[in-house]
Amino acid sequence: MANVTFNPFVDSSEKKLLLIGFIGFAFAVVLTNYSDTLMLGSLKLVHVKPKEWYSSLYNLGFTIIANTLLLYFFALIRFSRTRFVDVLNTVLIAHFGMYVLLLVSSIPVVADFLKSIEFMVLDHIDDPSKIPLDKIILMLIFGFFSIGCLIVFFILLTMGMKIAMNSKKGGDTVIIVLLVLLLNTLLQFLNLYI
Amino acid sequence: MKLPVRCPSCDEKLQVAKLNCGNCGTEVSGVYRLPVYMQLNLEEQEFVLEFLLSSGSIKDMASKLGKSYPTVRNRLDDLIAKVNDLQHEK
Repeated sequence: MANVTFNPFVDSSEKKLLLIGFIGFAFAVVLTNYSDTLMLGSLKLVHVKPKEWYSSLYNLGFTIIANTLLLYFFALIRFSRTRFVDVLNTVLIAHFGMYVLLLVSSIPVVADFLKSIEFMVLDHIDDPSKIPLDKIILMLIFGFFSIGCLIVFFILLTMGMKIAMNSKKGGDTVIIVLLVLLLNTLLQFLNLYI
Repeated sequence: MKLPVRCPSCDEKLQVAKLNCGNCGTEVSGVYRLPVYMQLNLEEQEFVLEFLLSSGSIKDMASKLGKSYPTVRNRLDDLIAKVNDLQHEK
């Protein structure tokens, strides 16, 4: 049976992955700046006041570097010959899942809809049953789409990391996911973003 | 033609029992163990040969095979582990 599983970390050279990763990163910096969005950690998008472009660059760069360093040190413990560039490529490419979410939520119609939903939920916080059914369905669709993007992020991350650290153990997948969840929760609490 | 290294019936390692001269037809019988290289499957043998022809450069191998560096390095590591196992097998 033909192997149809898509894994960019198997067939692409590190230069190609790095180039694509940095293009995606630059695109996300522009998008977060344009849409006044902050990636609070890798897993959360929040609307913020307009910022300078270098603030967006710092914020996204900080998230990428924090994730890369954590995963690199973990990988070194498991496999001493892990290369930094492979971990960096993995983190950069995995974030494409979140960039898609960022792109969709930056579309003016979607952004307006999300804002209206946010206000509607706040207005009906005491009695959520008064929220119109069509709005709930749209919220559900966007919710499932967001979860899908998160799943893509984690699938790409674990696929890349397992190749970078030559791991065939399922336990490593769980540890990688837990580490990333912990780090990004910590990043949200510390809020070192500008 | 692909050289079988495992018994198709019980999957035990095969041994060489007879060698034949292609020129005069002389036959030599005996029980000879296959060298480690010959115990690898065809794909693995090709990989080892390609690695040798690339002067042991994983980077060159990756470029030739159209695979990423860590993919080739991992395959080499797996092969080293297999060769070590074969060498320590009785």
